[in-house]
Amino acid sequence: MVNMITRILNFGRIKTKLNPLFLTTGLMFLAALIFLFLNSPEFFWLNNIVNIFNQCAVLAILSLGMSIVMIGGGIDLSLPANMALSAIFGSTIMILTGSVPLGCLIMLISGVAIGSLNGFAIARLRMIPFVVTLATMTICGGISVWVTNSVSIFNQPEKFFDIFLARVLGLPLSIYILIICLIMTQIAMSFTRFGWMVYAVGTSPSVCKVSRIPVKQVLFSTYVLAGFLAGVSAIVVTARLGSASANIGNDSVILDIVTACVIGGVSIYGGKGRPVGACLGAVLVVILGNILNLLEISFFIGLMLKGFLIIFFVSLDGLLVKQNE
Amino acid sequence: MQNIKKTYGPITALSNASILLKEGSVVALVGANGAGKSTLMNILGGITAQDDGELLVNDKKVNFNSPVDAARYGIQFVHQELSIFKTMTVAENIFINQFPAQFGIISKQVIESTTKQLLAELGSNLNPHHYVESLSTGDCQMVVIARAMLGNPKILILDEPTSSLSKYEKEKLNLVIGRLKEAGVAIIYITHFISEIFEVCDSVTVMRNGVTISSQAIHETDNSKIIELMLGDVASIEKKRKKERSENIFLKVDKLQNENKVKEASFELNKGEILGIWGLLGSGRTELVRSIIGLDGEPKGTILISRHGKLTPVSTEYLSGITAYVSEDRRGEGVLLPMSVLKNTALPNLKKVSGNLGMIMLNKARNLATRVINSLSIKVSNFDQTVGTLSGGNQQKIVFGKWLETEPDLLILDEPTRGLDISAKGEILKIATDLANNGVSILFISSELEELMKISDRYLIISERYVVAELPGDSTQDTLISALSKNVQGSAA
Repeated sequence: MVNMITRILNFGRIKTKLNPLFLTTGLMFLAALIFLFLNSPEFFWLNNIVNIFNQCAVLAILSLGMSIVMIGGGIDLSLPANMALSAIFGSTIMILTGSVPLGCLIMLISGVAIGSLNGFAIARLRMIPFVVTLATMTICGGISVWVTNSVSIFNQPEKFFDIFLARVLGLPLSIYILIICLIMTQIAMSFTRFGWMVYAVGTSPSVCKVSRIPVKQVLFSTYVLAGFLAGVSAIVVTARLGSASANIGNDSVILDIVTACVIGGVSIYGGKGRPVGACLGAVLVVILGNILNLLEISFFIGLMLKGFLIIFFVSLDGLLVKQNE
Repeated sequence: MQNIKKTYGPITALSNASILLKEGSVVALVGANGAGKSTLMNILGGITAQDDGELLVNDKKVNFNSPVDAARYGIQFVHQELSIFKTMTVAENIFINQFPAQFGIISKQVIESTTKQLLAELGSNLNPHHYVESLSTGDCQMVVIARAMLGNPKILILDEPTSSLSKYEKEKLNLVIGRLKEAGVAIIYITHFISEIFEVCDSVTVMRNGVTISSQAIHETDNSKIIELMLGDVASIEKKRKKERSENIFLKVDKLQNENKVKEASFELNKGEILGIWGLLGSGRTELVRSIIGLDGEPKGTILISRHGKLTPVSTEYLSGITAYVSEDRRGEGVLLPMSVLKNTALPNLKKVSGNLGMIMLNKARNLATRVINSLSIKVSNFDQTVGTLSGGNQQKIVFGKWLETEPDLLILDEPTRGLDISAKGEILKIATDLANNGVSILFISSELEELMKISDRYLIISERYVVAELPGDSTQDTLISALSKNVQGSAA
């Protein structure tokens, strides 16, 4: 498969050193855009594009967090549930005290706390990431429903929406938040000691242990950072929806995150990929969602397609790993 | 098997190997690491094919393309790593290759009664219903042998069957081997424990560098003869180092003990000294060096380091901070194969190549990588090349290089030349001696007596997880070999 894609490109005399995964994603992206151009040119109106980015801000921020964890060789299934619970905690405090900064701070702290819990269980107690975060996801989901009785929390202070729905230079604040998160994450992963350690740990924990890398601390930190980004996304999602509820962390969100990461070239085997890839992956997932809407295809068929996409990209990734060996 | 040859790429694993098996007799196959035992047995077991030479069974030429082929001629291989399914019962484990089934339904009764019968033949009274996870290693061994027996073997290969057995279990295994002999099975017994050979085997075949150099009946040989054959004659060893060295103790390890990995170890290491750790595989030499830098849990005992002219007790963590450890498992613990030379060399030096806020200074990282490449003359096109694409020797130099940049006080080399060609071996030894000349203290483990003797200033003899003796640097090959065989014998008594 990988060879085929490279060969096709070589046949067209496009010599490239790019990762075949990125190429596949790029081609999909192009195909989606051409399709949209032919079927609904109004998609490309500036307003709509801004809208798309606004839509994908939450997913993209969560995907950034997931990319950090996945590069470190783990997975965090609890991110959407974390986001929902943090949004609920923060909103409750915000409404009780009327203080917007305090409410936002609570969302961030809650996100970090849940992330630390995951990190502690995985790095210190050496539990399996998949199981731990699946459990945290269930726990957070359970608390969310229990605390809210499945009722959305409205009536956050007006000031909250004034701030986070504000437009700066014609663009919604959420896009700026996303861009800041993206730049910070990308810098942290590519240009700091921490980032280099995460890639190394994701590639081989045993080499790192011998090379005096504090493997446990590094792993712990990846989950804390992912938790923090879940807290940030809690703020953005609450502002955009005008409410906080248990449902904002429903199961389809985690599917979207994993899809965004794998089509963005973040390896499920650890040690490979870039946050910016995960972010582009999130944009592609949202655009695909829009196309499905446009074609009036059912939400459930959409889920199915995303599932297939994950399998396709993970198998491509596996082939790539084998090829390198 | 006659004149078997096998090469893997440029490396010759077997150049001329022959082995003769007789019905109802046990042949011991011994040889140092990399002598070619496994390759020879893999050919016999049908796992790989030979390049040249022939296999004869009952004077008829045969060719095996797969383990199934080999099994058809009654050849069964019991590997060192027991292939056991822990969540299954004894009976299911024995029948895992060939469940007897009617219309796809497995008859539990048949497999259980056959299991009972097989185990009884081996003199074991294991319950076929028991789950394997509750069994001892010795009993697991029994299960695997019973599985091999199911194929009615004429030739049974036992690869280091005793490496993890208790004394009592070993005796039980010896009884089983006796029974198999009586039944006319020819057995190849691979082991690192020389004393065992004299308990069960009828003859010994010794391999060295891909050649079977001797086959003798057991009563014609003895302990030290076998070890001598295994290790070979070391052609006039030229000491690579002059004798003048400081006598300042740098490291002192006192009564170190780490569960069953290290029983007891006390030794001293001078500044700028190369201390050769001499022991057979499985003697606990790797565990000893890993224990002092805390890679295998926290050991008991005291570790002292010379600081400001005084010996001060330190933690394993502290020691690890000033130690460079070149692991015997280069691919698993040495280099990050899919990553670039740049990132590999930066790994233990991240603090050195980063500035404020933990930002990596790419310039510094590049300079570091270039320095490593130049100083050890590593053959790479540039520092962005993936380490996985380099030769073994160059990969090992990357490991050395990344550690040298940390300016270690202690260097631990665990089989640093394993799998390298002769010129790379020489270069690695040269680097080590240069370091010692510059005041780095070195613990050096090697299975090759020749290279150990070339650069060691002193020897530590380790056997059965004890540090048993210490020998001066001018010891001859004979003294070293007899030190080992004496202690091997001693522990067997």
